Amino acid sequence: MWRKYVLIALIVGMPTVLLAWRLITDDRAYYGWGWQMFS
Amino acid sequence: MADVQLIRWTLVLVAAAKAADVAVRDDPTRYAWGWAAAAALAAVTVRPGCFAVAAMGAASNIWLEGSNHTLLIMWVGLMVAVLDPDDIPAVAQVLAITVYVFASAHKVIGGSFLTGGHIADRFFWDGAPVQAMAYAAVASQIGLAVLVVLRTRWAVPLAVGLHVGIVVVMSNQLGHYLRLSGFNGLMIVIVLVATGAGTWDVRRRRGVASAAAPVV
Repeated sequence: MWRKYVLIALIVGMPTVLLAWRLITDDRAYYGWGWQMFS
Repeated sequence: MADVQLIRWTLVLVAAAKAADVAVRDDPTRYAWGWAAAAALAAVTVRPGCFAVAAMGAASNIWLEGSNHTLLIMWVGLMVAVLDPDDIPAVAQVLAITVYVFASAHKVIGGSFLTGGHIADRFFWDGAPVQAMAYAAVASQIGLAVLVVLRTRWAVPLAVGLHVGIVVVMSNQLGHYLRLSGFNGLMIVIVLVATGAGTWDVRRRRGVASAAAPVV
């Protein structure tokens, strides 16, 4: 079912984007919304 | 259906715990009513109820608290709300791997978690080996990612140990306890479902040899 693949793409894609965002920004990102997702 | 019911009733408990968590804060919000309503709806009807829980997770995440536990509640609610039940174990497997891989990555990057400071802030036992505990937590999460990839039930006892440990070590007030038990209880159930342990006994009892999801 196509919804399975959409959900998998979102589940993997969203943290990938947030992690990349944290890696390419400076340490101030540590305290931002993206970091809190994982803390 | 066993997976659906297991996740659904877990979400009922988690949403009820979120209602309590939001209500006991110093600045209680109307989100408590939303969580309570979503929990009640999920107790009555599966897909609309789980969608309501997912919606509360998304809304909390955007407007109240950007936080991994509300995000996890959203993904798990969406899984039950939109997926064919047969697809749930595979997506739960991807979800569990993602959670453990990214949690480990964020703990390792920068290294501040590995100092044990986060644990020392919460844990009431002075002189606890917080740095060793931090390393053990990261090692457990990496190990869990591998075990869930392999889809072995050895992931379950490790998940129970890690997540119960986190709740015990990281809660020094009611709010922490409610939030952490919701997140960590949900992760134990996700690992159960992802490794097939949520369904195997039902299939055996019924004598069903399922080719789609063989007993591991």
